[in-house]
Amino acid sequence: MPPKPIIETKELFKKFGRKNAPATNGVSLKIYQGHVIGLIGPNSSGKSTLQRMLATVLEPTSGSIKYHGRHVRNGHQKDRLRRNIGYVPQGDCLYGDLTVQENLLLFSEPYGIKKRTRKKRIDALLEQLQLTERRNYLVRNLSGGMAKRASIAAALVHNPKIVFMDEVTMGLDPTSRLEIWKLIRELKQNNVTVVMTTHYLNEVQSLCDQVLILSRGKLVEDDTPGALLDKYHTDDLDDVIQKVIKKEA
Amino acid sequence: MKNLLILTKYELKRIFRDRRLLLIVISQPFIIAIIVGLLAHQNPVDVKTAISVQNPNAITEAYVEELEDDERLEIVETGATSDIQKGNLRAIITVEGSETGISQLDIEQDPVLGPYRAVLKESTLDAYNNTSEKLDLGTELIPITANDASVTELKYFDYYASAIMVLLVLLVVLNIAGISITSEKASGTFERLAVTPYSKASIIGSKALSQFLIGFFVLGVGLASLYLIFDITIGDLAVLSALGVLIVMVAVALGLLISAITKSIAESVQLAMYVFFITFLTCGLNAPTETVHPVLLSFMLSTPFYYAVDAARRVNMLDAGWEAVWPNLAILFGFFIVFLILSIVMLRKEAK
Repeated sequence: MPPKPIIETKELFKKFGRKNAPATNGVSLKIYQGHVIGLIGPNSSGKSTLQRMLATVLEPTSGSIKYHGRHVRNGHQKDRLRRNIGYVPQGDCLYGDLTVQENLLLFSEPYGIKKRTRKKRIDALLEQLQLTERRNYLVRNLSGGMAKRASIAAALVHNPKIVFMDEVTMGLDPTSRLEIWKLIRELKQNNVTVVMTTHYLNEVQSLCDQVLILSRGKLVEDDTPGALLDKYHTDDLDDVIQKVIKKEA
Repeated sequence: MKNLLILTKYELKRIFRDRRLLLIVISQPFIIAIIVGLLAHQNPVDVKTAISVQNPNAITEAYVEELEDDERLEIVETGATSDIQKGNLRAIITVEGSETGISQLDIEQDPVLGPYRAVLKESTLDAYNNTSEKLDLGTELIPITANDASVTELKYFDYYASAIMVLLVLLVVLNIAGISITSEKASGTFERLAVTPYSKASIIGSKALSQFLIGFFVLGVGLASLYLIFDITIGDLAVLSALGVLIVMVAVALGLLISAITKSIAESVQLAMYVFFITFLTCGLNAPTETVHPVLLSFMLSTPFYYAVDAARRVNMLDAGWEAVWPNLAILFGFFIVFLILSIVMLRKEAK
């Protein structure tokens, strides 16, 4: 029996304002449990919009999203879903005037996790992300890399089943990027689904099981990195992107 | 409810951690109350006035003596219209003598005095009545008395204190609440909160609750400053407290609505100041409703802070009780509910 997708969208359409072109235009896709999915494409291709719709930040103008085969329409269904997702937005998006630990407590409170479990989880995450010594630092006093790691910790503090990461390694030094790669691999090992947008194609090639290429709001490719390289007769995903964009133009 | 309290706790933590913001918030009601109190410090005194007497006689002399004894006026020997233009003189009173006494009184005055011009009319009328009484002229003037319908004698500042109290709360709360959501939208924390099980109502409610506590504190400091330093009349404390709670609630909800409908911090600050200035002009502090154009009056009557100032004045100055101000309290509560619901609706709409 083939595995069932954890996320399935049909004809997902999103438009901002009357005059603008649609940000996403009829995107249908399937995402499976424990996979790392790379959402790539040129600027303004609709990557972030698609991810924000999947993460329930935005509502689609039309089309449907199913989680575990169920439509997400009303507040109750969204609430249930939100208990299982973690979201790392593009910026650090933490409260600068709260400490790292206070931010983690604030973002973990609504999940109803027992105090002792939560404390253990926070300690483990801080250790894993090398933030233990900075736990009582105000977030605004952290370096860019540390703030990004704190942001990831806030998204993982409730043990989500799906994690959305929006350009999570952007602007980080190579060491910090490799640490985040390591973390993503660990999440995959623990059967957590990761949906990440990125412009770094080596990241996609190295981490992802599935690549979704978007162009002008449309999903133009959906395959494994290896299959895409074979299809376009190249060993570089960058070439694939260039060829796809050229074809679409 | 639990989520609301959790978010409120962190919201207050963040506000109290910003010590400079806290200092500005706490000092504002105190400093502004002192400045306004000193501005409207006393009944007008020593209004520089020249008297010109035409056809002097014993009655005009007695009349001038009365004017000279009046503490409200500082009589100078001579003066002309040009002195008023230069700002050296506030008024010239011309007394026209006749065979039987005084036939005409003219007051030429500096319009800069604004509403204080009434002082000159009162002074000349009082002097006339006193002269008439002293010299037993058997004048036909009917003694006129005009008293405020107040249980206590009102001081000059009392006329301003109630409105200032309301505006102080509005100033502080609008500024804090007005950017509370916009700043979170700018920093991305709002988007992050939006994908957690915290509901929009909890997020808005936590901000409303924490800012209500700050606003109520500001109201307390402002009121205490006005009472302790300027001895303003307070009226019924229970009614005033209920009114204060409602004023803060409406100010918070309006601030949150501003924050919900604006896209950037600069936009929020501009709109908050815009709303504050319009409120300052239309709350009833600057002009009684009798002088207002009917169109603007309709607008004033559809804004919450007109009812807040109206009720505050009646409680403070006339010692009005529940039965006199309950309609105002009900209207304020209605505005609070409407603003709060609109804020939540606007935030939900944004996700679409």
